[in-house]
Amino acid sequence: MDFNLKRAALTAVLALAAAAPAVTQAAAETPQQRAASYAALGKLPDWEEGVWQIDWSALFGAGGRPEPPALTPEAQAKLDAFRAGMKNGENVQNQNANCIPPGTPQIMQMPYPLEFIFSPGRVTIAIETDSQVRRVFTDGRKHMDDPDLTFNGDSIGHWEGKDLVIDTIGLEPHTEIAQGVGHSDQIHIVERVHQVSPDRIDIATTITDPKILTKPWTVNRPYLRHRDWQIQEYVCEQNNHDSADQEGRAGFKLDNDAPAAPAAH
Amino acid sequence: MKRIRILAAVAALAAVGAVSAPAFAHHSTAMFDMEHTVNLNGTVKDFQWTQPHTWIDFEVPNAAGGSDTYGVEGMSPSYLGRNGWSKHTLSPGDKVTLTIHPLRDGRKGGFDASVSWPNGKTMYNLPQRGGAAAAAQAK
Repeated sequence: MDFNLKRAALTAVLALAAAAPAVTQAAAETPQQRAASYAALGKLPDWEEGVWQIDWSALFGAGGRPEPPALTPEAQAKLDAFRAGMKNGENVQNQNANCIPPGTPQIMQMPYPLEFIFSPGRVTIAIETDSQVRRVFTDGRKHMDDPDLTFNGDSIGHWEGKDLVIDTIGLEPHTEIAQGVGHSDQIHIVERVHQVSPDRIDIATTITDPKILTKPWTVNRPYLRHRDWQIQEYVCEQNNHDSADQEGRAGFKLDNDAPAAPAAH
Repeated sequence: MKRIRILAAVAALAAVGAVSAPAFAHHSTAMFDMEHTVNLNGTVKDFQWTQPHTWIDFEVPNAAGGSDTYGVEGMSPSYLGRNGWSKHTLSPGDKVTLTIHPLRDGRKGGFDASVSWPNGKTMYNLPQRGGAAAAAQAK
């Protein structure tokens, strides 16, 4: 290869490299466009004022137990085994006792508040429990073709009037949709966030998973606004005394206890 | 007793698991005897205002003339900080009475139900009907 040919090849490679970002990266906004997209946020509901905590009376069963999921025989057998284990002291703890976040959807049902942050093309839900963050893209994009499987999944959203509809796939295989009920690679969650009154929103969560559920499972949960609260830091590893063993048996570490043996690698 | 009934309800819900009991986001109550309480009179050695739970190391005089250290878990700053408590609620050296749900395994520890001061003030750790603040005022 003579010098000119090498140079031509190099030029071609550089041209490709330069062209590649243009394919994946949106053009930068002009200052005017940017100002307009932020101004448009003012038309959204005022959910970013204060924080929202799930209504504890609903968690305690006021208004009746939510409808249980209709399970496939395989999922029911697993739940039966899980409950049988509970009678032996197993499965009374889940991995949240070991500071593993529960993931979506159960992270939305923790007893501490969450907040909505609106920015152009995105709704961010910051959740106090386990300091979790969900990023919901509302810029019209589709789901990733092959998302990495994560605790809170790949979420896109859109507004239907004043309701926010969140669509989630791509969840980490070990997360559960309810205690003792896992999910498959076909899980699909749709959450509709609807403001019922100035200080109450309801989130109706519909889970579809043909390998686990014989029909879609919808539960509606109310959240109440607390205007004078702010989200607190929550690092679960800060002072956890309640680690569970592999079978989910409850543990309780006293400060005077000998340190646990280091885990084998 | 109303308070005990509420605690029993919390424990029952946690045990059933169909509804996650909000008092214990992070773990179950299986290690505690939620149906009984024990009163401990002693001295605060350390009050840890930390996630996911607050923690009290509590010195309780024993029959041998020394003292035993009890490890007492409490609700999180996420709950307590919004229900009248703060990192200053207890300090080392404070002489108080802790009402705890004892550990089932017999070790010296448990879950804090309430704290009472010599002047008669009581603060609750677990949710009360009408809220902790209402319960404190009702005392």
